[in-house]
Amino acid sequence: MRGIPRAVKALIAILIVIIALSVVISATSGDRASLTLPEKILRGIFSPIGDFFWNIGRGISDFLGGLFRLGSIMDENRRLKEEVEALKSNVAQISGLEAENARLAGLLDLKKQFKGKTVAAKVVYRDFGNWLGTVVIDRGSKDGIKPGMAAINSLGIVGRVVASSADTASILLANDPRNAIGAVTVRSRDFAIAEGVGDGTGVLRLKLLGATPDIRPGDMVVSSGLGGIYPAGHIIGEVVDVDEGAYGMAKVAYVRSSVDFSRVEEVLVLVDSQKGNLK
Amino acid sequence: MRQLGAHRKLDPKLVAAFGYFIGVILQEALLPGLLPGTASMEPVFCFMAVLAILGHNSIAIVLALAGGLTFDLLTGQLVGLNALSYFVSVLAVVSVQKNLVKETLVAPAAVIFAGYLLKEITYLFVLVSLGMNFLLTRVLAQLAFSSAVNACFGAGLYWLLHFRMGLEVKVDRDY
Repeated sequence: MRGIPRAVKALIAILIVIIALSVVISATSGDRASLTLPEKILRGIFSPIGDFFWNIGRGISDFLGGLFRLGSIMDENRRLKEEVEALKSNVAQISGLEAENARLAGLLDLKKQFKGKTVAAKVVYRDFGNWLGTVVIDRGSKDGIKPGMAAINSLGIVGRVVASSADTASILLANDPRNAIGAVTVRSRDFAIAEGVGDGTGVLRLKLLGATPDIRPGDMVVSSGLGGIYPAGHIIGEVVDVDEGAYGMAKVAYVRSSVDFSRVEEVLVLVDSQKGNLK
Repeated sequence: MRQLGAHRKLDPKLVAAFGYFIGVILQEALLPGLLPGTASMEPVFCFMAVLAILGHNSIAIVLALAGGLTFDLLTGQLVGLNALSYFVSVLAVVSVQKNLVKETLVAPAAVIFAGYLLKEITYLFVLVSLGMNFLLTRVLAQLAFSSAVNACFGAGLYWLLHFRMGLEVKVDRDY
């Protein structure tokens, strides 16, 4: 190597680095059954630190958000005081309704119970980039979480597990362009595939599979259960726009999820994916 | 523009180590919690770019690879993508830094803007080559906005490290 000019050596080193990184990117582009040792060690060290600073960030964000809303909160407070006076006369009626409400809430909770095992997890940190959507949660393979499991919250489908270590797991968010969900429209039962569009707004692209799909804005879209990852019946979102495409041949709809993907804090991982259907 | 009191010499290795640890915490945990859904500010990139502009080439390259790989390993998906995009970007900055006027803020800000743009284009190129689709309007708006955000932050960091804290320009003897 002594006779090789410095510039050529540098060029060779650059090419080696670029080729090596390209190979690793290609090898890790899909779902991964387990993480490598450096990844496990790094996650083990960073998870508690990330969790600590994530909570600080959220705390400051909530505090500043509260300050910005202070003016409107004071107006609302004044209005609410007046309403309280008016509502005092209805207290007797409300106490009767309260008992009814408790019974209905109990029924609702029962209805929401799942057949299979679920694991509740908290987001500890997230991918910072502009284009992809991945969050890391504080539960992993020790709790039975493996790649290919669906993650939901009360508002709908959040994403799916793509990698896990003993104490952590990566969730690929539903709005990531790598994610595809088997979907069906509630009103017309048209089957479709919901894909992330990578715009960070929570809008998913719905590719309709039927020859003459009947879909319009306002239609509710849920998971079809056909993909093998997401159990049937979980909310994906509401249709906000329908694009007929050239000559009406390719109908594409856009669905807005109720989940705010930039603010996901807790998720429920469906460990028994196929048993995880709502009762 | 340099302050008379700035007689201390800042060790670029110390700056890189500080930028690495603070940058990882800020980028992965604090900023996504503080400013969810907004254009991401990337302190590790800005530290790397500032070091490269000031001629600390090898330190900047090591920071780019170490920082990028750390983000990749923490996320566990497409490992090497951040490292590759940081690496391409830092090489571009290193290749132009000798021709820059370093005693103003305009040139460093412009280089950080262009470097960030190149980093994002490299990142997107890999994603698109893997079959992912993005909305063009979203891509253009995001590129312009996030590059501007990082250029502003990077220029501020350059001012702080170079003009206020005395991080010096390294002159390459081969030049």
